Amino acid sequence: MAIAAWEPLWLDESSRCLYAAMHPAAPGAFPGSLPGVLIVPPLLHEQPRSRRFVTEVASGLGAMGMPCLRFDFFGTGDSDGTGDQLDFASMHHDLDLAIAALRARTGVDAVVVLGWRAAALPVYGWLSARRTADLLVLWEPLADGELWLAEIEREDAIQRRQRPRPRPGVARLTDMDDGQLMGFAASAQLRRDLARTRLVADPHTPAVPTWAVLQPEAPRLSIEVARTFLLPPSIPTFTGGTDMEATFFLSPLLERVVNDLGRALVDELGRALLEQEFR
Amino acid sequence: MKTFVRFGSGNQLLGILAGDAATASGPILILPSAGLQPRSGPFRLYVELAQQLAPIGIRTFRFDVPGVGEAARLAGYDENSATLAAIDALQERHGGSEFAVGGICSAADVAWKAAVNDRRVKAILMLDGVSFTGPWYIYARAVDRIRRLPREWLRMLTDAKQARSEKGMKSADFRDWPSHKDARREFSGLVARQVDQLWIYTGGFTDRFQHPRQFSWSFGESTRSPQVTMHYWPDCDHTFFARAHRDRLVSTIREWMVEFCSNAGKRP
Repeated sequence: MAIAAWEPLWLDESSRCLYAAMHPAAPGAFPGSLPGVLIVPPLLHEQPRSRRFVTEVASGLGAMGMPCLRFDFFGTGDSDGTGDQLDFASMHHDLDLAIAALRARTGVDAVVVLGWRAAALPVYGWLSARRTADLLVLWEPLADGELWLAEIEREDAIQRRQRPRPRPGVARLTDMDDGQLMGFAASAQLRRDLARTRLVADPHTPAVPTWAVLQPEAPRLSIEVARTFLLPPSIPTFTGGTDMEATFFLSPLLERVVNDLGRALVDELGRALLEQEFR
Repeated sequence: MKTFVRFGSGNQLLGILAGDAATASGPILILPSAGLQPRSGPFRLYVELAQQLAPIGIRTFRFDVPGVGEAARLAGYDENSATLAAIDALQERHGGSEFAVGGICSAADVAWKAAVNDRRVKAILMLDGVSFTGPWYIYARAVDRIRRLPREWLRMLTDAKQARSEKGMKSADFRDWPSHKDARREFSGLVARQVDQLWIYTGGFTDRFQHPRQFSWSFGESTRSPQVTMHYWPDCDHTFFARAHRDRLVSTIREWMVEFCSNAGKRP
């Protein structure tokens, strides 16, 4: 799909200098009448792999009248910092900056946080505590940080053995203690944060209303999900490795899901905002 | 300091210029996105390069080529025209007059074309860039096969048969390379123009490069010029997955850029 015009910006330029991109609502949309969407990227190797896809989703939601802000966490993507400075505390700080920037730049009354994959783990607790958004949408969320960490540690070990393919007479470098995971720095704190986080409801803190976009065969989430959107079978997944061409796009099948999600957001939050205005 | 630079057809492309123009007025290292990877580079390599070079006064400019990462597809506009447009924008608006261009894989192909077509390009960074198989390649491949255990021979035979039957695509099928004859001529032309060249071939490129002497066989006598540096790193993979490999690469590029920048303004 075509990517509509968007604006790059730095968040907290003097200190963290986070890279962000604002996809404006399409011309004609009533300012403030529809929610703004904060887009939270997946983590580690899944972030560059899905860069184009996430950009296309932001562009698609913008075209439906919802301004979207994408950003890179500190130490990832085009933001300042190094990968070993990334952990849940730093992510929470960046999420605060990003949501404030979305509100300040668009004047929206309602905010949706759309988080991909492992981003669900830092986002869910953060949003339950802060309650700075009206709705959380989790796209193929990873419900168990410890399980995911174990999976990518196994995959990392395989990648290290295969990159490059072994050749007689060529020394191999396999320093498993180099602090890397799938080619990206992963600090001990980030690993601890992942290992102790699961998507579970906190009985003492009411959760922000949550929707989910799931693979058809995905296990049931143990948090309350008000609405589910099913992905079509046989679409590219986030787990496709780290090769040079490992990327994926918004295919027509996926575009349908994004359109359904966008329409549902307009119905749910657009109508509520309209009613509020009339009152 | 980092600056967004809009450029290209209708200013629809975007790059990030890292480094301070006030303290760094010398050459700029241009890093077009490689393959389908976004402009931060494989495993964030290009960001790390920018972070290493900015404090020593060397600017970098990284951008997504049309259709990759965040960049829209632009009719009639490809990675080569985008790179030349980036050079124009950096020269007109950011005080650049000499440029190094390069990167991994397809970015190296872009660098080659840019250097051949634009005299403002004074250096190229070729990571698994153009190469031609020949006697040294065949020799190295044969030695490699002999050194493997007999039980691997059967697997290699099966793989080769399967590749033939599937007419499988090789890395060169995705690349934009001149003919061998044109490449030799163009290489000599770049050396005559005193274009600095850093070439690194990795062990992730074994279907095209397996022996260091392949380099001079590919490009001829001009490879002996002091302007040309070539390393063969068979222990590294194509995208420098390992931290230690990326550190070695960043350090090598840093030294090369320092040397290149020390001769800024003295080249023809």
